[in-house]
Amino acid sequence: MPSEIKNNQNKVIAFLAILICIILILIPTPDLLKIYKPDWSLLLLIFLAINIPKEFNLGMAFLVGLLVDVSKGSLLGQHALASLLIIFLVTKFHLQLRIFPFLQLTAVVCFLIIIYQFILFWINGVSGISSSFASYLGPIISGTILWPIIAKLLGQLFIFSTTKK
Amino acid sequence: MVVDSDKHRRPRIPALNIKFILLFCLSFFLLFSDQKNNYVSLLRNSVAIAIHPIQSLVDFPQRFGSWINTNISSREELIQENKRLYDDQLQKKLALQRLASLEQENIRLRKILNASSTIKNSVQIARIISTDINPFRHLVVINKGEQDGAYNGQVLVDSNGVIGQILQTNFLSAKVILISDTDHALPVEINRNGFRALAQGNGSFHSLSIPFIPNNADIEIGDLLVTSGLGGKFPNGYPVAIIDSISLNPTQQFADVTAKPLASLNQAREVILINSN
Repeated sequence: MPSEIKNNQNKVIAFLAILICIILILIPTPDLLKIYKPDWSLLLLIFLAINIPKEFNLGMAFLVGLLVDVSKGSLLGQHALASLLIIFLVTKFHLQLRIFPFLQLTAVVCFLIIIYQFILFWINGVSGISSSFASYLGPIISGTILWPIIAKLLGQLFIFSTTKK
Repeated sequence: MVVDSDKHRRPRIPALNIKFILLFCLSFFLLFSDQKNNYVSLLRNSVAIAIHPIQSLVDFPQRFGSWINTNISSREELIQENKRLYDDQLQKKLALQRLASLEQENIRLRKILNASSTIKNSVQIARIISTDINPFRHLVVINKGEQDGAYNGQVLVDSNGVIGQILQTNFLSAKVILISDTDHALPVEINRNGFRALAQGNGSFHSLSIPFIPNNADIEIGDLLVTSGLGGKFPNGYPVAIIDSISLNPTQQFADVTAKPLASLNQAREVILINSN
């Protein structure tokens, strides 16, 4: 397949995925599951940065972060900064991450979500928003559990130039 | 072999470090300017407008459900509802008759006292289009924005009591902070005796804490708290909550008092915006 068509198709799918992310963030959840709402945008951005880093890297992470900030009503720049940092790390090491076994990659993603939540916690602390410890722990647990599913699902949608195992 | 395999063999992403440093500084700048003052409200507004269609999309199933509900309800149900509403309206009318004369009397008395005679406020109905936008806060988004005349600090009530105030207006929507948010406190008074207090949110939809009540204060379970209007933001006289527990501890200086909000903070769909100027 010519690379131009492939790139365009990947871009369209990525934008649709981002749209669905925002919808997932905005959809109201029952009280019981509220603290387990995963960071959808972060999982998507990590996937994109590992697999098609040429098209989606820091600029995209920043923009999606801003969208999340506005839709969550948090301090403008909070999620942008956190996802920027994570995606910088991922893009830097995307070639290593690509050849990781699946379980190891999941462990790395768990670690990345912990850093992400820590940055959110930090900025919340500095700006004087207090919240319970569980609300930071919930997304880490749910994100780690969901990562394999999301990665497999998105892997089906995108077209890669190199054949994957 | 694919055409661009050569391109993918090169590991470098162009200008990664420089891009990172630039965007990092930019987000820090955004954080500071959003925290300290309102310089970036234009940016926030424009992003909010971009998100507005998505918000409406998410809200659509709920609206569709209620539309179906109104269209499919049977004739009998409608007749019954109509009858109930008619009775309701009759009662309200009766209460209003007395209110009109009381209002007149109040205005007359206020004139005698040389006080300002603002009792009536104009109102506007808004709909909540998004909830639990942030797990750490009690914020909701309503479908009225600057375009409809909403402004920062505007007060929201539902049919039972005060819900909250507008924290931030965008062009088409506004972010509302509920009275149950941990960062929110509003000046209230006890309707029975005019005792002044603060009603502070504590992160639960079903209780507000009332701090700094002396152990010997005249306060009882079941007392109605209404807005006192002393903070300058909330108009006075709107019901807020009912005292539901008082625990006295002689070793502490203040009593531990909580109140139950009258408005259904986590159930309301339609809210009323009060225009106080």
